[in-house]
Amino acid sequence: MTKKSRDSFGARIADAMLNGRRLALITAIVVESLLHSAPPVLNAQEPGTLFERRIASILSDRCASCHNPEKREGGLDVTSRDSLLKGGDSGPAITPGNADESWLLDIVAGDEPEMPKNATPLTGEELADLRDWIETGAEWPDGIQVTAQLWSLRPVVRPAVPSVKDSERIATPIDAFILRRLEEEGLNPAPRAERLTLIRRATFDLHGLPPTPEEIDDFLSDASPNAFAKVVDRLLKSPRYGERWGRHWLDLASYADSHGFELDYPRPYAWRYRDYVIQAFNDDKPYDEFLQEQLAGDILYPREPSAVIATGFLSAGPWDYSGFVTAIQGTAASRGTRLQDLDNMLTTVMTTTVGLTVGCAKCHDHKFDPIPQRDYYSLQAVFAGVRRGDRIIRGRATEEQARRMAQIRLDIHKKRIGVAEIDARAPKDRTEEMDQNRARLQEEIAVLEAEYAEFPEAELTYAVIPETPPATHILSRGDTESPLDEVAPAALSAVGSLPAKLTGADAPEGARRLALARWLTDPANPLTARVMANRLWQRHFGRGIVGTPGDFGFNGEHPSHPDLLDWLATEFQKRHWSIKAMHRLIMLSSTYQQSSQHDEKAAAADSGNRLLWRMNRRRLSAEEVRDSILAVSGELDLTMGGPADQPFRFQFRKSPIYDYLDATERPERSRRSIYNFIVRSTPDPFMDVLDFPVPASCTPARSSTNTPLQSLSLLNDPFVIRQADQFAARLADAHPHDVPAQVNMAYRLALGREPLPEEVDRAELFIGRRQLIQFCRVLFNTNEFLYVD
Amino acid sequence: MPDYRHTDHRPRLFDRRSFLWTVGGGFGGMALSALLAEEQSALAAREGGRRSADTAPHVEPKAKQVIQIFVSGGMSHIDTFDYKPELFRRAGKEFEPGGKVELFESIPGKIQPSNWPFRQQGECGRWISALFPHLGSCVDDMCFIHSMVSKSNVHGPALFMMNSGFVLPGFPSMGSWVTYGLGTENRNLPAFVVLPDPRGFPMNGPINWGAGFLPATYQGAALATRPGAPPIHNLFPPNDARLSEDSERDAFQLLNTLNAEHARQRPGDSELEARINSYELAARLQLSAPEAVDLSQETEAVHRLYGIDDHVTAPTVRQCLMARRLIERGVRFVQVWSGALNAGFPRQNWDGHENTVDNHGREAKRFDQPVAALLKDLKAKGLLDETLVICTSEFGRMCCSQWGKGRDHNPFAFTSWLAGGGIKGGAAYGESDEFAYKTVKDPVYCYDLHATALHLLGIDHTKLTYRHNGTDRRLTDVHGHVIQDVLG
Repeated sequence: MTKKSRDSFGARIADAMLNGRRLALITAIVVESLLHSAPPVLNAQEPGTLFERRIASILSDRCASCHNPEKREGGLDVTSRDSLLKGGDSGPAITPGNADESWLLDIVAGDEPEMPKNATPLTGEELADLRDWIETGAEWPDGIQVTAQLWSLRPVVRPAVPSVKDSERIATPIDAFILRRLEEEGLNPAPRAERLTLIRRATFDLHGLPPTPEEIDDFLSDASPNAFAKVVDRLLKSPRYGERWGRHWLDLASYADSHGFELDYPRPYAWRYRDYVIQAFNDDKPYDEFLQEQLAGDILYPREPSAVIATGFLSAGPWDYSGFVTAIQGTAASRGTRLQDLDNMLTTVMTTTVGLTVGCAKCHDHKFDPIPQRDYYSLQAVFAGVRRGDRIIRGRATEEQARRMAQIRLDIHKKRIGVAEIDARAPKDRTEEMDQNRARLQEEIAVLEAEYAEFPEAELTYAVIPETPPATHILSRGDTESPLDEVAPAALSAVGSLPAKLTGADAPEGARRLALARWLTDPANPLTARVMANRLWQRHFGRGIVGTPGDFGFNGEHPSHPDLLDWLATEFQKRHWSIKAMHRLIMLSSTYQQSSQHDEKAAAADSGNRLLWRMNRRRLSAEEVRDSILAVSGELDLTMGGPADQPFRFQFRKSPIYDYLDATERPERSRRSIYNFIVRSTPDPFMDVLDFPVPASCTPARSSTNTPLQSLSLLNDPFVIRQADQFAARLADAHPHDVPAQVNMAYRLALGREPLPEEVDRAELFIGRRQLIQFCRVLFNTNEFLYVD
Repeated sequence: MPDYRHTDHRPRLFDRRSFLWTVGGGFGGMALSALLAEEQSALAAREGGRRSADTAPHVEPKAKQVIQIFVSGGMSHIDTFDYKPELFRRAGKEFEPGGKVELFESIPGKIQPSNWPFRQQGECGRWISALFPHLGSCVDDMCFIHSMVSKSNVHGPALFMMNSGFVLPGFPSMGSWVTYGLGTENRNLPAFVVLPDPRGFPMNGPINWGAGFLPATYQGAALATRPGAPPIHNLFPPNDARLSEDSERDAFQLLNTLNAEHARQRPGDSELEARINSYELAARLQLSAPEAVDLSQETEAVHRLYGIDDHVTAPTVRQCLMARRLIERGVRFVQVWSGALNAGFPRQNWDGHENTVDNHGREAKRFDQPVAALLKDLKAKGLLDETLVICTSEFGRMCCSQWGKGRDHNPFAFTSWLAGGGIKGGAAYGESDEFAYKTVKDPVYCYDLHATALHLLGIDHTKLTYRHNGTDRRLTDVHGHVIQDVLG
């Protein structure tokens, strides 16, 4: 299956991207003549006037969404030279030939520029161009009209790789794009990081674990010129890789092992999707296939269990059992519940794949981006027949049998609640009637179980349950009781390079999802490759080229290196959407391999390091902290996959109880954190305090906080104490009665390096006075352990 | 009784120094160096104003702190605050308000008026049911909103809505927004503290007070409300002879040394400094948290006022007394929960589907005296003026019976009440219809309640924003009006 689709897609990519296919239909055009004449290739030999090359796109991308003939905010319209000369409420915006007298420059320059409002300020380069343009007479060639254009919707055109002065530092084309911007600002990149730093960085980035002392020794003693490339390849081959990068994807999918809301029941078969994602990353499944399977795997490859499991992406988010099961259906309230459910599904899909905030168009046209309300409901029509639930992946049950089996499972579930509720009562409160009820329920459960046993064997996964889609209407102000026009499934109308129409209004359920999957993965879609390339960059550097990885709209950040982003997007497709190829490309760059050291001058010019004059230092994620502690203590269990481990005591009740503080009857496992059971309503306190995201909606970037409660958890959580104990025992076993050797081993395991002699002395003194466990616990709390340089 | 807020943010360094050195449990003794710097910056922070972009309050603040009492499960407005004589006249008749009646999980039964008689109370003469005799004596300080409306009749979404303004999970709760906007007055305690019902977490779990997409710094810190439990999870290490106090102090010193050396080799990184500092703050929390919740420091008279000797009221007394002590110490936002999960019968919250008399009778007995005492106590200590008290449920209940004795959910009309900082006492706003079924005058959504609370804290609700996934998110979404009529 993979080969077939890869070939056809490969062919289409080659066709569309490399031959620069032009697309006939482009609405919302920036600069109509510009699109055809000058792709945004950025070097000094570019053709066209300064206006055509630079100014038109600045005005259209950064100003025209508010300052156009319709909106005229502040009275200003930037879409023609005349309107700029006329200016706004504060008089003429520009004075050709005199930049100092042009207030347009004043309001976009300075430390906290007034404009663009609530958006990324213009870069130094853009400001300089604008100034030059005004100084040289504000020339505006005839026939060019500027309209509001969202940069991310423009077709991706492969830019030329720029030339730079310091070509020594160019290891991959990426470096040329980064270096060129640094050279323009007169900044120097940081020197190459030390080898120890590099292997620690690469291992955490790709595995979320520290390198072992042996891995470090191998790398430090490898004199071959491709020593680091070998490290990267080794890391990419290991199954630990999928456990780290799969988790990034689960953040986007808002994956959890329970429903959420009031009646937060477990989803005992959700883990198959988690395992699918890990496997997909380990197999380097081409990204286009990965998306297609997650949207419509059951339609594309109905006989392949993994493709059906993949649709767990659509069902991964929260689901209100009480609203869907307890509540009476067919009411206005239940329609509201369903609308919210679909909203969450479609918002997650669209934010994840194309990075646009489509959900903002539910009640009215999007306030900033070209997404009319009609688009929102046309997209909703794609998912109109999607329900979340347990689905049979293996077994010979017919559809009718599968439905009956699902009903039986639900009935058994409800009756078990009844039993649990009675059992939860104190014996003195139990009446005879309750005991009779309990016995009756038990009998009914037994009957249902017997019926279920008659069906063919079946394996389940929590995934899409398709049903016949009802008609979808635009809803006035998002109110289910105020339907307007009926709509047919369609994608975003503003993406001019592709037809928005997906299927007819009466298309069967699966055809709709498949059509959207094809639209998303069409090589001509300008968003999909850009958004994913940005995510890969973000995960390696701590922030994306677009700093708002979930918003490529007008309200999002402008890319710091637009040409690099487009180059990466084309490269991604050229390499058959191979994510591992992109890792290699990025990690073998000098940009990735530079040190994180501080530089006064660069920090003064670019305190946020948007130009990447150094590597960003980062704190370990919640999973990395827990997994690293386990790895260092020697307790990490590398068994992969299967049902989730439950780090809490579970009590099945009407509202189930998940108690993390009560260790009784709690099975103790020390597998990687990605295998822990994620409860939507009740987060694991240890992971929560380390910024594990709320699995409620798509999380494109986590926050990284420092709080006293976090420090207390790292110091005092029974998990940390237990692992410190294990770590101490490991050291003592390896080097009985030899404290300096224990200290040496502790440093190598936890921090990856040998201790300095004075560090050994200090540690020996401390361990003599206190205990080895205290020393181990302190190491787990050091910044050197918790941060990656 | 000293006013701790002043000692905590207006430094009396000598006293605090000796306090830290002598009390010095846990890592306390080592916190001093940071403390000095901290108090300087706390002063600067107070001069400097709030966390959001603005440097001055948007409007003149009337309140500095908030106590939000969340009555979860759906408290019946019909049996408590929303007096409907017409229901008594129609008792036992069919419920025919006109139009289709759709309920959450039942079909409408006969009309069932309040199960408790109503009486006029206080100088204002507001009608309060006999279910709340103690709160009845506070009505001149309370302001009732009888026209509350929710967008969901299901607990989960409705609880999220009242907490965060959205029916889906993942949005910051009101307490998170307030602490994001105003910061804290006492860095030795969390700025946003949650006091769950000692019977357990409410429906939806701890994400009710989650920070959503705001940094975790702003999420509610749940304090244990069961007697004898350490107030904060992981405040101290587990009992272990190897982790003695002396050993802890040495360990902290070693950690500080290692982190300081690490930071020295990595200049220009304020995050590393912040993390070192967060250990100092943790050490101070080890001192301040147990003290803040030590109810033995309260006088006999206070205990009597709250009813601590009655085993029925005692759990809520703990919550209410803790709330007052936290407010005294400058905690910005305290959320007190009445009601736990639906995890057994009798229900552990106000979700009286089966039998309103049993359910509300039981819950009110736990609730009434301690909450009334809290209002009186705050007032006596002069704290009520600057503390906004908000009491709300996720929705109300129906006037028609469910299965004869209970009531189903009603999101179309219910009652919330406010008191304290800037609120007009003895007043009422909005009206429900004669069946207390639907709001007929001045509907109030959570947005308006939130906007009003922020207004009283000096914040314009349209300006308190946080950019998330491309949207400048607000507590009030795109809605919300300050309810001028409830302002004092």
